[in-house]
Amino acid sequence: MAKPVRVQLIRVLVTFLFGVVAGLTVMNLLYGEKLDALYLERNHLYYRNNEKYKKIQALEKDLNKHTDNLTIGQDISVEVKLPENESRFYQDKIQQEVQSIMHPFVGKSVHWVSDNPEVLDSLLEKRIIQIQDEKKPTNPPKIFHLKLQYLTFVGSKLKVWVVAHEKPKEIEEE
Amino acid sequence: MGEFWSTTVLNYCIALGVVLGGAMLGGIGAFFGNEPPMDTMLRLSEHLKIWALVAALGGTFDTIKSFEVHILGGEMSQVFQQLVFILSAFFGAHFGTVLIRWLIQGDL
Repeated sequence: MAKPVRVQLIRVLVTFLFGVVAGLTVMNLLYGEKLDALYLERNHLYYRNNEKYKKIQALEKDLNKHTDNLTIGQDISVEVKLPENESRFYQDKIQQEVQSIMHPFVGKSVHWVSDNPEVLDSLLEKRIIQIQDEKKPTNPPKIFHLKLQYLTFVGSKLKVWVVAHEKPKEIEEE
Repeated sequence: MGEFWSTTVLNYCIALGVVLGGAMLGGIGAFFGNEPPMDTMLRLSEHLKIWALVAALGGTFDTIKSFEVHILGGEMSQVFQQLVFILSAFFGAHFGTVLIRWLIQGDL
């Protein structure tokens, strides 16, 4: 009695598997064309994407060739932003100081500096500028911290925007 | 139906079944393997044609051997029968390929 039941079960299982295969075949025949079209579209998009990527790389190469020849000129332009309550008297002095800090970059490749702007940033951030008020030479000099805000290149001309903050007295005393 | 005709029809059906079944199940496999199913079915139907012929004839060497035996024995009717078996298997395989092509491309 047990054997026919087992055979029956196996038959049911095999019939089920045949059904699965038949279902898959029908599904394949119904949606195969759509799937093929999608695969074709995907391959076409891959191809077009690769073409665009190659074009971008070629353009970048051309651009690099063009910019590699450019070096930073002598006329580095500096814009200094001081806090609202700070005297405008210090602006020119800080500007001169920043220009002298920037001087080592004259003649360097524009491409190299634009690729590594953090060098400029860290160079300015670690500098402390002391400015003596010429009208009151007995007063202690003012100490400023610098922070690079923006950096642009117009051809070979470098222009930087710097924010200057006065160092707080408490920290100074420490 | 005599044995000759039944074998002829059997060869035809086996070859047809190998091409159709192989292409259909290959299409399912292509679906699971991230490949275009219809294109794979078309390719498989072309590739399976020769193997369907071989499968229907039950191995190429037996047929060639029987050719040799019958030609040397002067039994030309037997040679003709073998040729008909080969042709029926060929037509079965070819019909399968044509059916698949018709299904996919819409023309014969």
